[in-house]
Amino acid sequence: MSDPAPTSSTTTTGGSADNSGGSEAGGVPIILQGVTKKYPGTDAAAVDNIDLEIGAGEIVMLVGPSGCGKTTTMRMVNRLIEPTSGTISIDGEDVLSLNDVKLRRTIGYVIQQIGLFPHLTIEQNVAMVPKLLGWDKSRISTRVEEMLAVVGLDPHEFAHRFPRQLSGGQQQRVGVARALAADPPIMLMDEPFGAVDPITRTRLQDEFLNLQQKLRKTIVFVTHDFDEAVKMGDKIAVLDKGSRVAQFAAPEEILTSPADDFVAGFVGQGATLKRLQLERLDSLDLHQSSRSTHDGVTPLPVRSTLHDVLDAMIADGRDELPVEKDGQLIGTVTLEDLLDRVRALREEADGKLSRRGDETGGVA
Amino acid sequence: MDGLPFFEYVSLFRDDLIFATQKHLLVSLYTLLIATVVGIALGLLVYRRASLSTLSIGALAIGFTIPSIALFGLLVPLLGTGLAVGFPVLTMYGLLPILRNTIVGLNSVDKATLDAARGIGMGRLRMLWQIELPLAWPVILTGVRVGAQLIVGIVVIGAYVGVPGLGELLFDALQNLGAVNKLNQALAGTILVTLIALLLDAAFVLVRRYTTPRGIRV
Repeated sequence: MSDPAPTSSTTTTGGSADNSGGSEAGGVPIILQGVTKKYPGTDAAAVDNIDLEIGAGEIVMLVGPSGCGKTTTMRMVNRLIEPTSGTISIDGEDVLSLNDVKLRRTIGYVIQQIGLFPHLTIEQNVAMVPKLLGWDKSRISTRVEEMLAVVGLDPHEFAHRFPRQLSGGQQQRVGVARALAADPPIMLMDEPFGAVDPITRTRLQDEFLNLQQKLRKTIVFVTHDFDEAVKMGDKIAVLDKGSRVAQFAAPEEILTSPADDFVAGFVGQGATLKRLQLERLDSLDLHQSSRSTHDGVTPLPVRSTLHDVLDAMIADGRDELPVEKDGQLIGTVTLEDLLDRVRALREEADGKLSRRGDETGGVA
Repeated sequence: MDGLPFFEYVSLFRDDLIFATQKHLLVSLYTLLIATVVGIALGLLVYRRASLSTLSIGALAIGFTIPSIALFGLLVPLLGTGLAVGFPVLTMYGLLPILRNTIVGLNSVDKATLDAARGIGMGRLRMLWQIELPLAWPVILTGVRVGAQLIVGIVVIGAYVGVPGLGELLFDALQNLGAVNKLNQALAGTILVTLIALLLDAAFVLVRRYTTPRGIRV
């Protein structure tokens, strides 16, 4: 509550009304305290006394098995579901004290089923929230064009089409554009890429991460896919039944030191490989290559993840591969480098684990 | 028994036929208008509650099974004859499909669309006006169309208790079948009722085409 927001929090309350092109409002912190949702006629609470602090500009992934209450938790932030007890504050302001309809106009909302308005054009869909906020016409149309371009849709081609004329992936791009149109400091995303095919999903994820690099929104992202959580999240909240927070930490930490058996079970097999997805080649010291060519071996871009590097090594049957940056060879990476890195990560994690063990009196 | 050839009969009794047709059309349109307003309004009142929706749709299904002639017979002692009994009964029959389709149409709007509408900050009334009604409109309009057909047919039967329209010609012809020109009269009445029904139906096709939002036109 008392946290001062690190970035531009003063401009954001009330839908960041003076954004006129270019300067986007960054995120604001969200704090859940003792939030409980109990439906009448049920014994167990759907969400039982959850505490969560979400920092400004973070993507926090709520991940857990179906029925764990992750969607309910998310939907309480914009009061689509009213909490039974507890407080939720956005940028220090108690959401329960605000008008719920107006509150939602300041929070981007993206759902798996997309939910575009089928009778309205793409332009009208994206313009909806700015219109609700009473922006003037010219500002809305500029903004709509800008947002369509941001999500990779040519405004001239798509603005006047109807949702049914678009593919699933294109529709979800529009869904994201609609959510971002009024430049909300916060986005709620409920399995947004869950309904598209795996290739499109990967692309949408990558593009969204790139976008987030610039926008720095505070994002609550619900998924049941742990790999997606690892990829997208600055932090992951692993939730058990009743939204019990089993672990709330950065992906690296959850992969290397899961807090308990439930989290370990959720991380599943291959934690080390998943961990390698979070490391990129540019974090390693490359060997200077003596040779200038590597007879027919395609060099790896320096932005590749170590997971990709390992995959390429196995595929090519080599333990040394060239690395390029902007088309220039800048060195080579060896299998030994990867193993060293994994060893280092493990030692780091063990260190953390024993430190935490000292604090809390022993974690598995 | 032989009267005039049909076309000579029609040109001779042209004014009577036109007058009866006008009455028929007007009674049909007025009651349809009232039925539409009342039907959609009732639909808006009940559609949000599942129990009320189910109840109304069940009640409407029962309403459909009551023969109109029986209802006219039951209500004449209470309301009298002519339009006094005709208006409420015709309105009620027209109401049945309109109310049913309003409820069904509004409830068939995709839940995800509504969730998104709520989630981005649309209030109840705005959602109803900008999202739910436009999306349910083709279904509601189909209800009105069915209601129109129903009313045009029942106005004929209403002539039995004095509702004005082409039914007057038909009943008179049937009661006096064998008298001069009565077969012509029955034939002309039948053709005109059919024409009214077809014209109304064509009108609804046009209305549907021009009022259905482009994004959901099939």
